[in-house]
Parts: sequence; C-alpha cells; structure tokens
Amino acid sequence: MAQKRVAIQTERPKSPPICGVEGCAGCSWIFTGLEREGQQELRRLMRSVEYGEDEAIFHEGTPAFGFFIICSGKAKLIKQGPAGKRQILKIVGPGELLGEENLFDGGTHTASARTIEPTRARFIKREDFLDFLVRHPMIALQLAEKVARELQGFQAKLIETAYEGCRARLARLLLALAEKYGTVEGAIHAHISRTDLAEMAGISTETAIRTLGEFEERGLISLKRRKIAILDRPGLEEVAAPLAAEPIENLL
Amino acid sequence: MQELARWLSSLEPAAREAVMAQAHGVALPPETEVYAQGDPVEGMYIVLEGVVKELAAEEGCLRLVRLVGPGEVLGAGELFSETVQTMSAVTVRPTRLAWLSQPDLHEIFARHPSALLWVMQQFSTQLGELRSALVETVYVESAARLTRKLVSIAERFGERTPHGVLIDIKLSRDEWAALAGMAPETVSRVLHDLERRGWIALEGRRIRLLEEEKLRVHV
Repeated sequence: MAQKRVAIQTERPKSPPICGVEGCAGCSWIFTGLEREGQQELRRLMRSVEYGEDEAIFHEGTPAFGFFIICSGKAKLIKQGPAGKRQILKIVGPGELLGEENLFDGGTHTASARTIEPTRARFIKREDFLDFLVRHPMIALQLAEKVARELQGFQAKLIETAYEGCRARLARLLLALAEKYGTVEGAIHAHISRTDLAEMAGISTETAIRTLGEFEERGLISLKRRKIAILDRPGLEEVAAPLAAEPIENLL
Repeated sequence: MQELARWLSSLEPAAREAVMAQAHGVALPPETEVYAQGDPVEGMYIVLEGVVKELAAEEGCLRLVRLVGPGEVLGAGELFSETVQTMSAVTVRPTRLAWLSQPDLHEIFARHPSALLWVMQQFSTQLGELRSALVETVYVESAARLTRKLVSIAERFGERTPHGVLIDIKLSRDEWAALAGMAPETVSRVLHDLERRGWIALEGRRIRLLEEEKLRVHV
C-alpha cells in the first residue's frame, strides 16, 4: 500500500516589514510586492497596541472597527458554541492578520480573539484599509486569495470534523502545530494548554488528555508538563490519515 | 439579467455597469453539471435563479458541501487560489447563472476595485457560515443539527404554501447527511421522528415543514 500523505499547511514567506521597526521578522505575504510609497501609506494607517497574556482583543458579536497585524506573541480566534463550549478556529502569530475577514461583511466580529501570550500588534481602521485596498488592487487580490484559501481550509476542516475520529483529528493537529511553530529539542515550540488543544481539535478536554496519553503509550509522542514532543512522526502520520480536501492555509 | 443589477446594487454604478456588460447568461435544467472537480478555472458564476449544490470528493464518494442560491457566487474562491476547480457544481433546480470570464474579471477588478471588495464580502459571509457549521458539528447534537439545517434551508429556498413551507430541493439522504455532518441512517431516523410528531411531511425527496415554529423552538 502506498504511504499515506498527510496534508499539512504550508506558509508563504512573509513580506518585508512594513512597520520599519528593527528586528521585525516581516508582515503577512499579502503585502508582498507593495511599493515603497504604499508601505509608507500603510505605516501611517497603523496604530500600536499591546496586550498582556490571556487578554481579550475583541469579542464575537461586537462591531469590527478594523483588523490587526500581529508583531509579536500569539492570539487565538474563538467561536462560541452552545452551553459555553468554544471552538478555537485558528492561532495567529507574528506577521499574521487577525480580524481581517470582517472588513467586508458589515463589520461585526464573527468570533472572539484572545491573546495566548503577551502580544504586540498594529491596528488599522476598517475604512482606512478599504480605501487603501481600492488604491492598491494587487494587495486586494492577494488578500482575496488569502481569504479564498482560508475558506477552502475551513471546508476541509468541516469535512474532517464530520467524518473523522478524534484520534485522527488530534494527530493531524499535533503534526500541523509542529510544522507551523517548529520544535525545540523535539518539543513543539508553542505553549498550548490541553483545553486549547481540545478546542482546536473539536473534542472534549477529557478525550484530548486520554488520547494524548494513548499516543504516549504507543511511543508516538512524549508529554512533559505543557510540552509535547513528536517521537514517531511516520506513526503519527499513519494515525492522522490523509485529508481528501487539502487544507492549504489557516487550518490552525 | 435584471436580477444581476439587483444583486449588485451595493456596487458603485460604474463597477455595476462593467460587470453587467461582461456577464453572459447561462440557463441550465436540474441535475446538470456546471463544472466538475479538476476542470480548469475559467471564470466565476453568480446565481440569478435556482439552486446549485457544491460537491467535494471524499473517500470515493461525493459529499455535498454547500447549497448556493440567488445572489451568491459560485467557483469564485478558485479564481484567486487555484488553477482547477476543487469541487463539482450541479444544479438542483432549473437554474440561471451569470458567467464572467477570468480575463474580464481581472480587467474589471483592476478598473473597479470595489467589484473585488464585493466578491470578498461574499467570501466573508461564506467563511462566517462555515465557522458556525464547524462549531455546530462539534457541539450540537445531530438531531438538532439536522432540524436547524431544515429550518435554514426552508428560509433560504422554501416555498410558502397553505400547507407549510415546501423544500422543493430533491436531496438524497446521503446529501442531507453530508449537509448536517452526520450518518445517513441518523438522517432517516431524525426525519421519521419529526414526521411522527407531525412537524414535517416527507414527500418522496421533497420535505414540507408543517410546524415551522415548533421546529424552531426544538432547535
């Protein structure tokens, strides 16, 4: 039997830093190709904001006044379910955009955002950015591509959630986290709680803990406090099973 | 093409006229393929009348992912991100579409960026619906999920009659199962349970909502 291939998102190289701050690793790829005047114009629209750990950035159902470009730290986008349950839609890190999908549809946040770690970001007002996009159609096209890819990613995730078991979902999530954030001494370089892991995979915290324990017993991973290390990647890929629809971007 | 002007009413007049000038009308009978998964991406459709289902291949069978109705775009995502269609699209009812070729669209977007923002607004709405569906699939119990789906499809595509709201969209049990993210056997069980309560009537592949209010309360 042919080796199963597990679809993992691949990220595009970031654009050069727009903010001009020394040490900045760059902005979202949607700004790639923006000429110097465009960069200066965009920079003038930016306002710096800072948040502590586990702090709300915006709430689902409230007016969306603009969007954020994350400079440092990480934040999670959360959708409220029934009876206080939550689903983490994605985690965004440096250079990535947050809340950009609500720029076009009437301006209400369709999910909440909360920091995972202390986070610095640049905020751009909705009207200012829409005007900017009209003047820079290439960036508008690249943003359209990003949102279109995110749509495909969520379609794939919906099919996955409806038809696949919790083991496959959790295994794929661990592989995707390792791919996105890299590993330090084997451990996934992101401090994500068991509850957050469960809310990302769409399973209960108890099931997440039990399944992680099972993966550890099978020698697929090792668990040390909040750190998870992948010991047997091919084994974990076998549990993950391939997705028929390939999630290209923003699966996390 | 009068409907097209209505769906584009939020666009500035010059952008609306540019889209209208390049749009080609297409009329298709039910159960007709608009495009197949793997076909080259050559343009984008706007549904003027009727319903189209989008299907994705999953483990050898086609799963219904989305129903697309009047005012909504079809095949637009691939326009920006792919060279081939990632899903198939098949008409459910007699359907009229407006088709815009990729080169024409790129010219329109370059001259009238507000037309591109209109397409992105459609993406945002789809994204919001997908995220809600994801949360429902995870946390809402399957019977309630199917009932919610019935109510929302009746709202979008239902025909109000003296005897309730008729969903005149012929979907198989497998397709209802795919829409609600559940097993086909569960679909049959839930539908028969709702029929036994007198809240819906199953008329072959058509479904009539007899007690819409009770269904709403139920979900």
